[in-house]
Amino acid sequence: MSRHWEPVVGIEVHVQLATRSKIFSSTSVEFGAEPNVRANLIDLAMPGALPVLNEEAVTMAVKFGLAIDAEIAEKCVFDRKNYFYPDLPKGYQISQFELPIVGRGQLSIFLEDGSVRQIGITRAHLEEDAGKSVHDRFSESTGIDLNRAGTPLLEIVTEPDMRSAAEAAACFRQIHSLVRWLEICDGNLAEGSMRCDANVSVRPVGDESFGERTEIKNINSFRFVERALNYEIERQIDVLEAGGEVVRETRQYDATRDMTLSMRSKELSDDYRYFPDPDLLPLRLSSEFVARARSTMPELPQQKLERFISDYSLAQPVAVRLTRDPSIASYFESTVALGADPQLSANWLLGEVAAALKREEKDYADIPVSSAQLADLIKRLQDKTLSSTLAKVVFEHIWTSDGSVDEIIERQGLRQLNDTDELRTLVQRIITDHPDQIEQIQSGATKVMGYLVGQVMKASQGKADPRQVSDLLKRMLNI
Amino acid sequence: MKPFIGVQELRNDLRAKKYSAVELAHFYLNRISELNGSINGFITVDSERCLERAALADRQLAHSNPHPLCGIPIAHKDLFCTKGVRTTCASNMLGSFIAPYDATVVKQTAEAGTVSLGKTNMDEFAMGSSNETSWFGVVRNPWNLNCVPGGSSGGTAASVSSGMTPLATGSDTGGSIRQPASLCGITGLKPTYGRVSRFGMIAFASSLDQGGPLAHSATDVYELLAAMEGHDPMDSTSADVENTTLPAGDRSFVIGYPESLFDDLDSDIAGCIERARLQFEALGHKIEVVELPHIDAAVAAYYVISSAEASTNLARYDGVRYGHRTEVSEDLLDMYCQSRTEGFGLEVKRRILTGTYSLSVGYFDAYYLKAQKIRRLVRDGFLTAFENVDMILAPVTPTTAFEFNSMKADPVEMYKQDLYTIPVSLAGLPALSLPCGFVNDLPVGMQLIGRHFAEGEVLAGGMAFQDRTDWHEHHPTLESASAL
Amino acid sequence: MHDMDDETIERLLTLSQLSLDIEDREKIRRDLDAIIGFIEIMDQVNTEGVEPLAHAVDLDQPLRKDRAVIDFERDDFQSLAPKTADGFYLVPKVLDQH
Repeated sequence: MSRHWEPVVGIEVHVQLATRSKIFSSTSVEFGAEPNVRANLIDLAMPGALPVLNEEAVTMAVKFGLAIDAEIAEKCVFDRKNYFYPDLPKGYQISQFELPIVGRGQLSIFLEDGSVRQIGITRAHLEEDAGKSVHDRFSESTGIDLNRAGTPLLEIVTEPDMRSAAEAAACFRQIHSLVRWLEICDGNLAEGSMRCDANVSVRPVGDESFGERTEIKNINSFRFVERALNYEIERQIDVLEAGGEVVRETRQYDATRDMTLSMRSKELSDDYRYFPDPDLLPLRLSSEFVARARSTMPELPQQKLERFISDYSLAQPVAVRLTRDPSIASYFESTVALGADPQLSANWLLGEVAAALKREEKDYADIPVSSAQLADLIKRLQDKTLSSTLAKVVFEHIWTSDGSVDEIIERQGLRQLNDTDELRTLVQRIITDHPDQIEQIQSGATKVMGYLVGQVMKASQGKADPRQVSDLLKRMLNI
Repeated sequence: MKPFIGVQELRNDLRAKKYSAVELAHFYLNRISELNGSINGFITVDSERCLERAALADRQLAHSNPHPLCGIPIAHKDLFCTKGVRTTCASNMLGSFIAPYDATVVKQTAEAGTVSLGKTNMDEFAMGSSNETSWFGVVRNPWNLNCVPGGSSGGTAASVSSGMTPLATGSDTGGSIRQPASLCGITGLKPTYGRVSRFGMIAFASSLDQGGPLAHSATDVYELLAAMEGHDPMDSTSADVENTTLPAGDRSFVIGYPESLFDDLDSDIAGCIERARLQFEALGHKIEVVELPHIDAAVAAYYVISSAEASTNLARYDGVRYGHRTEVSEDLLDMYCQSRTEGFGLEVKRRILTGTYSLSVGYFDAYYLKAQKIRRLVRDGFLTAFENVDMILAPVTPTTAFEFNSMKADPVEMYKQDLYTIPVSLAGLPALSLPCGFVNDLPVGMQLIGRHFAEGEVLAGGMAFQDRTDWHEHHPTLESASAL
Repeated sequence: MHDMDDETIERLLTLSQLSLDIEDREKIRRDLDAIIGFIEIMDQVNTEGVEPLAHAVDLDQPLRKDRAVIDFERDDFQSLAPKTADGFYLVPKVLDQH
């Protein structure tokens, strides 16, 4: 990227709320059903059908608002956004325009380099999702499936506070983490549970005003957000450096070609004629309602993160990773609560455990090892029953089969050889077997020491602790 | 058996087994086949289901404690969805639409034991004051077949008036129960907004639409209201309030009289209402002059608000999931456009376009928001008046029933027909329309407007008036109708 | 005095997905002119400082408990549709991607 240009990015994230039923009807919300079996007379906009608001969707929106320290509107209003499209059965979408449920808030995002940035959240509002159009199934027709129509969405809009594609991706990731944390969204990007739109412009470094922006619609992964924006930022800079002008438009990201493309503008409407939906009344939220929502909220990731740093002396990037997902954080906490060293627990969770999960394409929620087993394993490391090499072997055992850590250590004979007679005998044997090397060491070639330690380790089948072996060798050779 | 019998007498006769519910249903079905050809009050008559329901009612009547309206025939305005029965809204758009569910009003009245005869004609999507916009043809006024019955519940009013049904449901957005009741010489109530569920009642203007009963007397209207009203969790705008009860004893009311409303009123009509005023005084009620501000602007505000809401309420008719779809279309947009153009009549199109205009960028503040502000002033005007009076006596219509096509040329003239009913609708108040005289052999009505949810008071006022007068007991002779 | 020119009518028709033949179009244009003229009587009312009123009765939005029910069969509704296949509602092919 040219150093003379600064990108300005704001994102809008559509979050499908994890309610049981739709936002304005009692139809169950379930992914992957046969077409239109999850569309009742309200979802189908039958004549005479009327919307009634789902309390849980409201509670979830309030929780999000509280989590970003935003103002919860005492009174908010649902509006109709009018346009014709076959996956929009009423000919309008019920959304919130002038008076959204969640007002201005703040979100901390964490960047790869360990730095933290505050991103302003402009607002978050409730609305209903549209159905799906299927274009490739029928030769002459487009098929309409309205199962998704009426699924509750929380649309979260940020300020144009981000200055790079990486920041935008971090922000999307942070929102993803937060809504999963709050248990208001399953966070399943592949199934479309969260979609991100990004508004991006570039301006000469030092400028206060914003350049003309474009909007990239419907990006559904963190990686694609970063890639799409990087492409789009480069494209805009190229346009401007060639003396051209950025055209305000909607674009979409083509992942296979890794580029953004102009979307043919929707020819149906650019005048949405927003007005308050007369089928719905103003929603007034009492302080009791808000307090009730607050009382069912878990400790927030930000609070937890700060606590992990102060209570366990963890480095910030480590704490960030431990608090990205509620299941990993609670796993970590229960491991530590069982007496395992916090630093070691963090290292294991983010190291061995993460690698094993990745290998098996599993989630932290599906760790086959209990936190008690992991705590035992770490305690055996702490009391030197196990070397780190042995610990990995034990870990593989508990990952694939049941049984306590101590049983496995005993059964498999994996106990570390400590400063015992057994280890001494072993070291003595190696000294006896390697007179040439001993001579070299005693004449000052200390590098050879490593070779001897290796020989002891090999003879111990990995059960000895290299540092102990080294100490023992030195002592026995009087150097 | 004879037509024009009130609910109380029908109930007594049914319980005394003077005739069965099936016989009663047959009587009305026969009367419909005799008269409907000339009146055109019904769009759909469902004899088979009707007789099944009547047979069921007879079985219930044989047991103790049948529902209060058990076995009594009813007709539903064709905008109430009726499961398995065609529900057209008098539009080509829904010309063959078989509703997949019952409106709450339909469900509740059936639970109260009523036997539905069929679905009554109306202005298309309830947009009109003359019942001339129905896809299924005009409805004729039983008092004079050359005149309109009023609208939009014109088929309902004409069916009750001609004795084709003793009870019927209607809906009122800007006067659609009260004006046809007045022009057809029957009694009709527009309840407080929120009193009767709108679930399953096909929407015209959601913030104004309100279902209500029409019958021969305030007493019968009250009986039907009891079956229609009640909180409905399926309608967010349904009020969770106590059901209507009549005030105890013979209460004396302070009745407001908005003198300035009578300035431009036809003097014969004004005379009828003046006579009613004296009657109320003779009954011991006190009359007090009240002012109702912004009446002219109210009509304009009403047209802005109702058209705006209608323009988006009718966006769902796109030929995709139900309703009319054009035979041939080039592409999606063409399919939408042709289906809607063929499906809707000109008055509906006019309102959609007006509404779209007033919601458009650049006009929203000047029209829609301005109209909502006037709506507040109009409502507050009523609330102020109600600080001193219990109810308000007012005209319903500026004229008696007019001839067909006499106002078709100028939609604004037609809109002004609703001058006296519209302010009440904007304010969401209950109002009872009841007959109070005749001018040139055509009925004249008046309305009693009450406080929010004070249906009991206006009904009591209407009952007291009808106890002492017999305007509601005049019925059209229908000689020319039967001769047709 | 009003701006019901052809362009405005055309825009309204597009937004409403309606079309009019020449005769109706002329009539509607005249009607809309008359209606807009009539509506402007609102200008005579001073509404400064007046809050818009959306519903006449002051009620708050009720909330529904989050209970999911499926109390219908797809066919109850699809039998009403002009065109369906394999459970989908069919419309003329939409070319533009969404």
